[in-house]
Amino acid sequence: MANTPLHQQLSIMRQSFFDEGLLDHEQVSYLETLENEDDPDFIENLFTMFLRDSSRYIDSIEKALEATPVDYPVMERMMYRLKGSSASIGASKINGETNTLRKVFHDGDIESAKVSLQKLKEEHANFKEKLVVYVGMLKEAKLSEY
Amino acid sequence: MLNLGYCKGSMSTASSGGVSDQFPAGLRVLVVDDDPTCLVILEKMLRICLYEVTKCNRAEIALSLLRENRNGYDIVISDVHMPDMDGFKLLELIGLEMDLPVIMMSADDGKNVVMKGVTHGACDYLIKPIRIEALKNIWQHVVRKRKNEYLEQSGSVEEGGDRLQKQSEDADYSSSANEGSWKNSKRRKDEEEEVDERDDTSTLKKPRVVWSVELHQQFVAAVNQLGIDKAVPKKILELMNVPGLTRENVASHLQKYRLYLRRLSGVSQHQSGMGNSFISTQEATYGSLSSLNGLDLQTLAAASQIPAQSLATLQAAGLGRSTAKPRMPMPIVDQRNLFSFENPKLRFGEGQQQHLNNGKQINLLHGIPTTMEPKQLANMHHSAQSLGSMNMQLNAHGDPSGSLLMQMSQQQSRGQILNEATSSQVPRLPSSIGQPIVNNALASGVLARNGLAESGRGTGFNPVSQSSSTMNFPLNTTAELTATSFALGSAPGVPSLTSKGVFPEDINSEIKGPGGFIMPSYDIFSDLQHHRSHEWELQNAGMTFNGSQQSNSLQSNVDVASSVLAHQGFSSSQSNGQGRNISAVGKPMFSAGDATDHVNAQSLGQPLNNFFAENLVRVKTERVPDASLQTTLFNEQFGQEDLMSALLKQQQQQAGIGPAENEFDFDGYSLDNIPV
Repeated sequence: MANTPLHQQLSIMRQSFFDEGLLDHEQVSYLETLENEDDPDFIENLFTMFLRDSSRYIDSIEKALEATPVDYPVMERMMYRLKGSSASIGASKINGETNTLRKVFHDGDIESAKVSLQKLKEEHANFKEKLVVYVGMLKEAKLSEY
Repeated sequence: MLNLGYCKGSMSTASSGGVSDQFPAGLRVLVVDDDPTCLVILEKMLRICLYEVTKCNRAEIALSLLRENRNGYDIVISDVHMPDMDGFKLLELIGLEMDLPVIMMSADDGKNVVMKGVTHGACDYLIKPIRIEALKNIWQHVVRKRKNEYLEQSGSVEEGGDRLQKQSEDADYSSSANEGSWKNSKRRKDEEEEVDERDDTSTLKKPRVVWSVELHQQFVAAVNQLGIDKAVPKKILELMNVPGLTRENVASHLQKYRLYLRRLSGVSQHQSGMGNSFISTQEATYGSLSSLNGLDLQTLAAASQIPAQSLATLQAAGLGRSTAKPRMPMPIVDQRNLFSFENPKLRFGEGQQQHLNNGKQINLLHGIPTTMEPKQLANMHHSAQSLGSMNMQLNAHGDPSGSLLMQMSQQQSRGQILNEATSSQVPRLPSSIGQPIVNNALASGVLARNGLAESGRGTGFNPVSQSSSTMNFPLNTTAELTATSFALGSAPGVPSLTSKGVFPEDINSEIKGPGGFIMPSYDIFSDLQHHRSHEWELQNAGMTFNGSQQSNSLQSNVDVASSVLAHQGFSSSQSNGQGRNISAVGKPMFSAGDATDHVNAQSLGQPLNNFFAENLVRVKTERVPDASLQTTLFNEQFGQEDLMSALLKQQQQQAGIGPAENEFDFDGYSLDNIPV
């Protein structure tokens, strides 16, 4: 990658993700190795997809938790999916919060689960905000290379 | 490994149509995951490995893809949790229908879930996030499977139970197992005429046979006709008289079937935490007995002198648990024929004597400390057997047996069983075929239950009779078997157990109490199991339960049934793809309430497989109303303990032996209250 200011910014931002624990360095580096010339947009597509799906999952979780009675199957499925996808892209904090939520939920404590969900939403919102910027920069950097 | 090389060559040829040099490149992988992100990552990694990737996000879609193009894929990778169908159920179905290696993956790394993967026949289990290294070697599973198929074919049933047993026990997927079976097969190969055929690349490449419902039914009928110990592929093939079907096809299917039966019996055992399985087995036996010959359970009961009360209790216990009874894959019921009614009777006699011998009984029960009447065991055995056969045929039933079951548990199971039975799962069979083995196990369990319950009741329990498929077990029998929570039998899910023929091992593991399985006396069980598994295999082979042999078989049956049931419990929860999703994965079976809800949800229409699995599971859970039984044994999903308790109780009552005799300490449960 060329070492333009854009790239440098990208690099700094990327590192900040790791430093703040939002993304797992190892996993992200690993994913980056999967990207190649044939599929240069792999990482940004992945992040974009995650942003989209994770928002959906969290909305579903919220709905399910607020429902009376609580929609267990949906909760389970959504939490599970969120856990899997966040682990797959290395979104550590989200993965952690999801695990906490799952545990609390499995313990049967709905109220605590709601609290945990709020925390998850916060983390997610924070992560999303930053990732959106990062993906934008990624695209921009690529375009600048063409 | 000469085979490996050989297989490799042939495999690559077979799989990629000539890409042998580049093998494993070109390996055709089907990936199933409902999360888009994961799917994309996996696809990417697989492509990097040079595999041909097809991805889908729904289990149903995956199944239809596989069905449409049976030889179009070499291996399947699937997530455990999916919206439309439980991953484990998919696993079983694939194993049964297409016999492809399946790798499970999950974000969950809980031991229980991983165990489920093992017991359901997954050849590997990957935890997310998945790394490419894990995927690079998946081709080994394809090769191994082909190799095993080859071996199994050469050595098939004709070799006798030993070999099969060995093979099945060797677990297709473990290297150690492979070596074991490999050795066997190697030996056999020399002896077998098929060896020559095998050497033919085409053998390895031969197109998979689709074991449709009808075909499977024919198969089961042939097996039953020959008798489980005499059922060798050659003869089965002759009896079936299906053009184009080869001895190898039959042999490999037979092995799976046996494993399935074993799993069924093993599951049942597990579920009840010994007790349950025992009971279920017994019941199944009863059920099967009655249904098989249309004999009245009552008669049986009378013969076996099982107190109606005990039966009722057992049934109640069984039923209580399985709310979801309907799940039982009744299809198996048709197999009733497999069970010979006479046998059970013999068992009774034997049982009686053993009855006093508490210890003995336990053996039969698999650890069911209670003094299960030997008869019961026998019954169970029978049932288990019948279940096995039943599974295959359950669909046919429509079951009146369901009614029997109902009696048992009166509650849910009733609905369930009936449903299952009625659902006749004929339509289901295709999928359940794969599962039949499982179902059978369930059925057996269920039958046993029914049998027990029936005798007590004097209701002339014919759990099985209805569809004449004594197997009422899981499939049809579910209803019959024991209305009691036994629904286990109906657990169509049972089939899932045998999905990959991993059954034997599963059973063992289950019995041993992996993850806290039940069986307190699992050592007995395991002993029995080993002992029995052999017999079981033999018996399974014949699918016909021979009473005389039963004494031994009973034990093994029981063991098997237990394990099967146990397995089933697993499978059922999972298999319930029907929407039932017992989401029980890992859910303790004992929560009869939960189980019931789930199970009940199951409609009869559910595939037999589900039925079995679920029913089995359910049955068990319901069994232990009080959870006093140490049900917490693993059977996560079943209330095997309940069954066990009930069973034990019954025995106690019969034998006048106090609870103390139970190794399992099932004193907790009180069967008496089970409404008959």
